[in-house]
Amino acid sequence: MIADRPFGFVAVVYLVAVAVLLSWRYGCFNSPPAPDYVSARELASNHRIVAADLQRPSSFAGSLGFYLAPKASIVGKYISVKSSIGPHKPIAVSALADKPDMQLPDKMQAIAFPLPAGSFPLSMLDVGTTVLLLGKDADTKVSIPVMATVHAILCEVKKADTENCYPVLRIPADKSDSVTKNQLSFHIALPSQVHP
Amino acid sequence: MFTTILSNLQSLISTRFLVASFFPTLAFWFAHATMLFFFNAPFAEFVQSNLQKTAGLATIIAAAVLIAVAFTAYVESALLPTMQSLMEGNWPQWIASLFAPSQMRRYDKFEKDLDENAILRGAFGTTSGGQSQAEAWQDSLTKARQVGALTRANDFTKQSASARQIAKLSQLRRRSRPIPPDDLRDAVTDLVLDLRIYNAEQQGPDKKLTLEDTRRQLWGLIDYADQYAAVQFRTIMATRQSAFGMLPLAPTRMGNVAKSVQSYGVERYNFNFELFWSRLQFPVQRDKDFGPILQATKTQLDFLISCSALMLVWALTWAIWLYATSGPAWVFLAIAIGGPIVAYVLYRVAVAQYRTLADLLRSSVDLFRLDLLAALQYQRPVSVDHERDLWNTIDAMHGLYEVRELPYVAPSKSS
Repeated sequence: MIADRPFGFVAVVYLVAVAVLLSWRYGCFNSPPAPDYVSARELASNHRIVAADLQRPSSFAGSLGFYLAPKASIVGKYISVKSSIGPHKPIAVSALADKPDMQLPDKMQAIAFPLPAGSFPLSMLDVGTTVLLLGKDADTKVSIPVMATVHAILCEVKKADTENCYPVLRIPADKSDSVTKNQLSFHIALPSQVHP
Repeated sequence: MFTTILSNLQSLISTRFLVASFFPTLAFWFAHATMLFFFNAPFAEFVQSNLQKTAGLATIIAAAVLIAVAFTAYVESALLPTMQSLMEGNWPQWIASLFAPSQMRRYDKFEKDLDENAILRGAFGTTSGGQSQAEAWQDSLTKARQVGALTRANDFTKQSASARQIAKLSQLRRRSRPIPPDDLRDAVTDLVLDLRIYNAEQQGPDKKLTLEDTRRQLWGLIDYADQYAAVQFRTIMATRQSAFGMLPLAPTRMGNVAKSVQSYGVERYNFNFELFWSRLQFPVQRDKDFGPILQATKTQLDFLISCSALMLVWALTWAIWLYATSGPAWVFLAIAIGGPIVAYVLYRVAVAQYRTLADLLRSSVDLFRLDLLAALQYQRPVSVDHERDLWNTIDAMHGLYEVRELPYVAPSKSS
C-alpha cells in the first residue's frame, strides 16, 4: 500500500510532522505572546515614550525586529505603572497608557508651562526633573523663586503631524496663584543653570 | 513609472526571460517583502517612510529593487533547467525506485482500462456471419419487425419488460456511460420477441407507436455502444501516449510526459529525440508559424515551473523561519500546509502544459525531421523502413560515435 503510493505517504508524513512540530512548539495552536521592546534607560512612571527609549529585545528574532509592534504605535504613550521600568527591561503594552496620570499629591497643583523661545530644549526635561521658576509675584512685584517638578510632558498633534509639546509642572498649591497670575514673567531654569 | 521601467526592460530583455523568470522572481520577492512588512517592524517602518519620500528618491529605490530582482531572476533562469530536471524525476536511482511505483500504478490502470475496452470492443467485433455485432443486432431487429408487420395486434406499452430495459440503457447513454454488451444483447433478444408478435406499424394501447419508437431507440443505443467502445479505445490510447513513454517509467508525472516525446520519435521513426532536439530546433525555429507557437508554449511551461519551485522555496523558507523564531502559530500552519499545496497545484498545471508542449514536440518530429536530414545533408529516405534504418545509422554515428557509411547530397537552393 505504502510502496504503491509513495507521494501520498510522504504527504501524510509531512502533515504529521507539521502537526507534531506545531503541538510541540505552540501547544494547542496558542501563539507565543508577541515580544516587547526593552527600555534603553530607566523610564519613570508617567514618562512619555520617544523612539530613543525603545530597544529591540535580545532574542534572535527580536534583535532583527521580528514580531515587534511598529515603534509608531508605542511612541507617544505614557508609562502607566507606578514603579519605573528599569534599563533593558521589557516595555509591556499593558504598562502603557494613551494619557498621563494627572493625579497629584496633596497640596500640589499642576500648571502647563510651555517653554519660551530661547530656553533649553524640551528633551532635557523628563518626568521628575526639578526645575526652578523665576519671576515676580503679581501682587508684591517681588522676585520669587518657585521650585517645581515635571509631572508629565504633554503633546498636541498639529497639522502635518507636527507636535507641540510642553511640560506640565507640579508646584506647591500656595505658590500657584503667584505663578499663574503672572506666568508670562516667569522663566524656567534647570537647577544647574541657576548661579548663586 | 514602474510600467515605464518594465517597458524599457522588455525592449532590452527577451519576452521569455521576462515571463518565465523575471515575473515569477518579482512575485517571489514581493511575497517575501509582504511577509516582512507584516512581521518585521523595522522593514515596515522603512517601507512606510519610503512611500512618503520624494518621487526622485522613490525612483532610485524602485530601480535598485528592480536591478536586484533582475539579477536574481537571471540566476533563477540559469537554475530553471535543473528545476525542470528535478520535476522530471531525474533523481538518484534509489530515490527514483521508491517513487516510481506510483507512476506504475497509473500505468497499470491504463493497461486495465485497455483490457476492459478490448473486451468491450470484442463484444462488438465481427460475427461468424461476417457482419459486425452491431449490424447483426440491427439486422435481427429489422427482420423481427418485418415478421411482426404481418400480425394485426399491438399490446406493446412503455411498461413492457423490454421497453423498461431499454429505458434503463438510455439512462446510461444520457450519463455518457458505456452500455454493457450483455445488457444490450438481452434487450435486443427481448425486443425481437416483442417485434415478432406485435405490429410495430400499428398504434398500441396508449395510442402511440411505442414499439416502433422503442425499436429506433434501441437501434441508436446499439450504434452508441459500438462507437463508445471505439472512441474509448482511442481516448485511452491517446491519453496513455501523452502521459507515458516507454518503460522503465520516470518517478514523476512530468518525467513520463517528457519521456513520451522520446518514445514517439523512437517508435515511429527510430528518431533519437533527446540527441537530435538541439539540431531539430534549427529547422523548427526557421518556420515562421510553428517556431513562435513552440516558443510561447515552452515559455508558459517555464513560467509555471518557476512559479511552482519558487512557491515551494518561499513556503518552506517561511515555515522554517516562523517555527524557529516562534512566529504566530496560525501563520506557520497556513504556510506549512498551504504553501506546498499551492506549489503542487502549480506543478500539476505545469504537467498539463507540458503535455501541450510534448504534443508540439511530437508534431515537430513529424514535420521537421526531414528538414533536419536536409540540413545535415543526408539523403531523403524513400520509405518508412528506409527512414528508420537511416535514423538508426545517424544515431549510431552521432550518439554512439560509430563509424558508418552514409552518402551526402548537395543542399538544395531552397534549404
